[in-house]
Amino acid sequence: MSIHELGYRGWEGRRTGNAMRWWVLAESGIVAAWKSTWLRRILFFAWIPALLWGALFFFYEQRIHLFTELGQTIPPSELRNLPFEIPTELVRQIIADPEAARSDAWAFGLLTFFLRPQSIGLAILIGLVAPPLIARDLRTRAFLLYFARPITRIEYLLGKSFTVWFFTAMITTLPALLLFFEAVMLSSELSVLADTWHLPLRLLVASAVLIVPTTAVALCFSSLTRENRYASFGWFAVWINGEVAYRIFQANGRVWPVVAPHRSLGELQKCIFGFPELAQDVGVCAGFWVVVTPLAFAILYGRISAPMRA
Amino acid sequence: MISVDEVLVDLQRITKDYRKFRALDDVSLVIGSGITGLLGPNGAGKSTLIKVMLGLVRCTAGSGLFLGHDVRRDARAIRARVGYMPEDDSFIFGLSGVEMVRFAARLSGLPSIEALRRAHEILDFCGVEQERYRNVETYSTGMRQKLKFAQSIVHDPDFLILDEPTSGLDPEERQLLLRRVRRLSERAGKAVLISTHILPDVQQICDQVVILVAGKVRVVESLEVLSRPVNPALHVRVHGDAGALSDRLRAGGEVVERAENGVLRVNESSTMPEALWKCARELGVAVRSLTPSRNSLEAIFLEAVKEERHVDS
Repeated sequence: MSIHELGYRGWEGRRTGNAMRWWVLAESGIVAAWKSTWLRRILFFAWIPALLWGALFFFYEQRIHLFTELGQTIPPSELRNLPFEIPTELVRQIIADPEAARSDAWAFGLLTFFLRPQSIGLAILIGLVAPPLIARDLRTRAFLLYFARPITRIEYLLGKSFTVWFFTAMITTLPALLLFFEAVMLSSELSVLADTWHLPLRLLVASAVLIVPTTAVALCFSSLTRENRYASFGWFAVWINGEVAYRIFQANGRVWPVVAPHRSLGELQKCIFGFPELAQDVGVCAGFWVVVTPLAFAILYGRISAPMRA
Repeated sequence: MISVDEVLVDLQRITKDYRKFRALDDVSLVIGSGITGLLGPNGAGKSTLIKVMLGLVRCTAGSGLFLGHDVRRDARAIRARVGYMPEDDSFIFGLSGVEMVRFAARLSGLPSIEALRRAHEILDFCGVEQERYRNVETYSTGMRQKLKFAQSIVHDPDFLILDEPTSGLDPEERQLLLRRVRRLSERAGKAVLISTHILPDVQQICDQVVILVAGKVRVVESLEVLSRPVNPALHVRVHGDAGALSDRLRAGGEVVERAENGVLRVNESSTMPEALWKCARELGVAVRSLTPSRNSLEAIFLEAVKEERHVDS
């Protein structure tokens, strides 16, 4: 017996409200995930592109007066095959009036930041964080421990989802917002805020469009198995096979972004950042995710309710 | 029926169907303070009854109050005041023992630092020593049982539901756990519902018993009343000629049976035990023990189950 053993004593204190009960689950998930060395490495590497994009924004704002001179030295025929599929029209606008084109230039910079490095980092990160979240609870029969407490299944889902959202926001929303504020701070005058105030909102919407459906699908995979490695496998299989299928179709002259999660979410983001002319099959992609996201949450809800009925 | 000073659970005509299977059939039940044993064969509906009480599954028909809250509508309020120890080998992966108990406390609304303090205090009470800093997945079954018990009481619940609390425990730990439960009931005033197959556990600590068979309540009674035999008798163990004593008692008009190991079973009557002392003295037989006979819980349980089988056939 412990020398400090005081026997059983009652507890009289003020309990926290129900509103933030989900946060306990989220916090626990975040702390548990943070113990993974791989996760910390991925987070570290996922911030490297932000430095590159930061340098680009720096260059844009510090050398904005040179664009017009630069434009005069570039023949119009050179304005093709630009990197990152930069629209020629945008380049012309930047050359003609870099101040006026600032909003579109920043928006495109942030769009490419989301589309290129961060969506790949996001897929890897979710593949690491989400699969154990529910699969392990299934394996260790932890549901009764949770639901015998004053929390609802919705709060459980919210807590688990927030764990994933937290890490994904760390590599998408947070660096993108920092990039925006860096650009504002580097610009010559604060009046740029009047032109670019909508970008943080677009960023948040784009983050939500990227994070919410992917989290739903990843947690759905996690809830379908007791072995988190199977859930990881399923998750990466969907992303890799989707991309392979997209490229096969593309090679045959058909562009079907809906077959690849990365591509279909990218098409939606092009619209969100104000470049609908660059997007393809937006309606199909939006419809696909509008169906898949609630369906994934519904399956998830059913799976976590199942042990109660056993 | 149980005489209850304070009605804590009052279920009225609860029915629960899982598609075509009826798990609970018109269950009406009143549970008061003290320790109640919930008995029943496998598939009797014990776990379903607990889940209905906790609001984890919605009953198909019927109504009920648990700690004054409606079981159909106020599940969250009920769960805030109830501690539940599941039967399954449940734990939360990746947490140490103390982290898991603290986590359970926080889920029940204890503030973060207070939850940690309380977790340590309860683990001390439950006899979990330095192992509390090890990850739960490395625990033995017995250790996990103790941890499950700890998480069920960490938030100071008014009512405890323990599902097979002693399974997987060695005899010493089993006794310690039963003693803790008794202490919680007697000193801290907790009401306890124990669902178990281990009848000696129930006999040892319970005040009342509920026997559930095929989704129906067969027996609801205090253990004291249940243990009282229909024909009260005395079990007499003697040193000397038990046969002669038996004959002499019979000759005096007493009803005597020879039980195993030379024990005599003498029906209680107005002349007992004086007649016994007299006959023993006359025959020079020493009475080593004299105990009133009691119905064994096993016999009561088997009788309840047998009745159901009889009805089915």
